[in-house]
Amino acid sequence: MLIEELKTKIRWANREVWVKGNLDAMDELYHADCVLHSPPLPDVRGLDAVKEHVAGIRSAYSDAQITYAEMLGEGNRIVYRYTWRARHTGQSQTLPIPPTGKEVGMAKCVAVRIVDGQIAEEFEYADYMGFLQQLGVVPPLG
Amino acid sequence: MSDTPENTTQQPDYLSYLLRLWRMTGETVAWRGSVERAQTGERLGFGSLDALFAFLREQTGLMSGTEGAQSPAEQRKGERRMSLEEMKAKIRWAGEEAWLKGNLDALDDVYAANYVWHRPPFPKTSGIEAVKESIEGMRSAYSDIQFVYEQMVGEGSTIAYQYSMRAKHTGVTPTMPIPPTGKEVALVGCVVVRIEEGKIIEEFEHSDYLGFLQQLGVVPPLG
Repeated sequence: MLIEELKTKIRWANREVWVKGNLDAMDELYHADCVLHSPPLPDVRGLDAVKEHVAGIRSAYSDAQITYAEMLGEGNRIVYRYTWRARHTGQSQTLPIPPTGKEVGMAKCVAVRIVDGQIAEEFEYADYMGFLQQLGVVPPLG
Repeated sequence: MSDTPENTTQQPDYLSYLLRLWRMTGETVAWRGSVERAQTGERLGFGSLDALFAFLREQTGLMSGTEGAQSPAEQRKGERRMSLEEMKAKIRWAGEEAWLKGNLDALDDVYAANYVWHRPPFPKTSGIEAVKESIEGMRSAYSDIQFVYEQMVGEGSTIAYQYSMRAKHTGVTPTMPIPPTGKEVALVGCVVVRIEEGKIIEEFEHSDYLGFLQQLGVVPPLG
């Protein structure tokens, strides 16, 4: 039952954070010393640093929307897939290019490890390659 | 103990084994195991931990003496969990056979012939041949391949797992025609598969292809 509660919390927090920009929604769900792995970006350590990281990304986009595919859990792990869509209207540190005004989307798969009812570790696998191709930063392959 | 009846049948509530595990090192590292029944001294050997676990599951979960002890709903739940565990073991086995040994036919046991593979940013492909070609292509371009499955998560008819693959880039793939760099590279990702009738019918692979191509020098670092 705990897993079902956590799933609900994750959905709620993601919407608060990514859509509304309410970063404090992460406080209850994440350990203070959580680690975010989002390859190929460097690991982010500690909730404060994670919030800063998210705020940095959010500053470059507007009209963010998230759409869930499946979410599954077993033991101390939850895995879910979702699509993030937004308009590229600003500039972020992770991607220092001028705003393109383009509508972009990114497919993501997230795996979290739960310790004492909170997220201790989050692995985010996002299609940064396809994303940069949409923005015209990286040419299509092949 | 001389009055112990000779025809003692196994007690469904209590089982006792001496467990032995040993590691084989060869082309790949593998664990072998055996169990010895404490009551009879009978010894059974297993070629893999998965086979050993499957035996223990069978002994504890499917033993005839437990029938009727669970409600039908609990039994159905137990069976579903069992088949998910079997499916996880099958996925691991087939992946290792295919990636490490080049035994692509092992995939036939796990993938439905008409399965669909989503692998952004690459186009969606269908059919088991697509996954065979991809693994064959990677195996022709990379050597010293190591493939590690992380803990698998299963619920309902869906299984998810993180993986990491490490290898040396020593050849050319049809999909990425660049000369061998000799570099040690790693690809990490998370895969979600949908199971129908004991086979994977749909797979969503989310891998760090940007990082992979950056390691190969095909795409420059950002920032």
